[in-house]
Amino acid sequence: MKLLSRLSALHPRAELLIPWLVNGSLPADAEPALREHIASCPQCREDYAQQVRVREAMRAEGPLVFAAESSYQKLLARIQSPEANREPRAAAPEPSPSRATAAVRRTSPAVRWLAAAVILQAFAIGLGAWMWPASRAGTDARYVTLTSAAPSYDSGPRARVLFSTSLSVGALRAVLRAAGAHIIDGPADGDVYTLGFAPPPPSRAALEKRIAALRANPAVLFAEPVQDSVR
Amino acid sequence: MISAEHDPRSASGGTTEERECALLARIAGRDSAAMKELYLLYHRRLARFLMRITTRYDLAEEIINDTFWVVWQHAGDFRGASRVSTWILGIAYRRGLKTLRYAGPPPADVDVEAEAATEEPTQRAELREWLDTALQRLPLEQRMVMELAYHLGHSCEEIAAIMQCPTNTVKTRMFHARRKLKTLLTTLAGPD
Repeated sequence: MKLLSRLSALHPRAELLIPWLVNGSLPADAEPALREHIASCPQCREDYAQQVRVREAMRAEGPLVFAAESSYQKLLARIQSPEANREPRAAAPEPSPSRATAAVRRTSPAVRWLAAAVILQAFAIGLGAWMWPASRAGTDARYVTLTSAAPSYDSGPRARVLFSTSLSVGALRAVLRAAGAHIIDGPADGDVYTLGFAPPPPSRAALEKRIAALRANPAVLFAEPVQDSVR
Repeated sequence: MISAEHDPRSASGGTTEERECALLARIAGRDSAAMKELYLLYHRRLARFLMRITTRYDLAEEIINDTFWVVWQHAGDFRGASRVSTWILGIAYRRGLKTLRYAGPPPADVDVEAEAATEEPTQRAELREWLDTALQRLPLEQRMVMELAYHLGHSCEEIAAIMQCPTNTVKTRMFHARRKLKTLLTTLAGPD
């Protein structure tokens, strides 16, 4: 009778501790009493056996394959961006929201302000592109055929950019036109593209403006001049 | 409490924890090679863990990168008050919850009866599939406790630190998760 009452007193506590015995994290001093109870309690014995099976199944490798390397390249582009290096560490206890996660924050008032700012920026970029002398921006309306000689980008400044994967071909075209840029290489590792600027090459100040315009576009995750190409 | 399973000796000597602490120290010094090593060490387990929250890989990937962005910015602040994995998973958990809050409701629940009637895999694979289905039907907090305890092997105290709640809450969540899971698995298994 005494044994029975002792077992029933242990049971509620044992029920709570079984998972931690199963995953091996139960404190060593609690283990002998729990094992003794499990041995004598059919309900806990069954529970323990089922939890062992559940844990084994949860630890089994699933069919999902994760592309760690390409994910890391995206992070690398982020931590190597000048924006990241400018950001004060103490002011960033939480990460700035990434674009994909920010995209789903449709109901936030902050995002509505952000959306307004982006629209304003897009308008400014469009206005800038319209006002930009066509010859300087490399967007003159020359008639180009497939057999026309390609312009040379050997001596001009270049930039490395990473576009959002959600960017459509049409939107990509608009981004390139606004910047007066052309894709001359890529995609390289991490889906980075190299952009060239049609002759005449932009001055350093003009290049900085174009890079700034690229960075201001939410679809451009990273934009950086190739240092040895800038004179 | 560190389980023996989570404290293996690495091939190069020292514990996994010592190795990860050393990586964090290098990351604090802006060593991107150390960053890559730690990232690749954690990517798979974080991806699996976060797929229990979002079920969308693109979001899980974003949360992983947000998490490691914090690691990059704050590696120097890590003082060893917890295991490195507890610290990183705590960041990932909070990022995951934030994302979930804005991403809207998860996909509609799977029809358990229909699933049970159409699946005929081997016993182990069958249990795994039933479990995946059943886990999706648990409340998020209970699902996370199960995942942290059984898949990632964290102790009750560590889970409390990751989820920022009392240990008794973790025990209670685990208790209810097991109860619901038992009922769901019985339903999924169907009549004998």
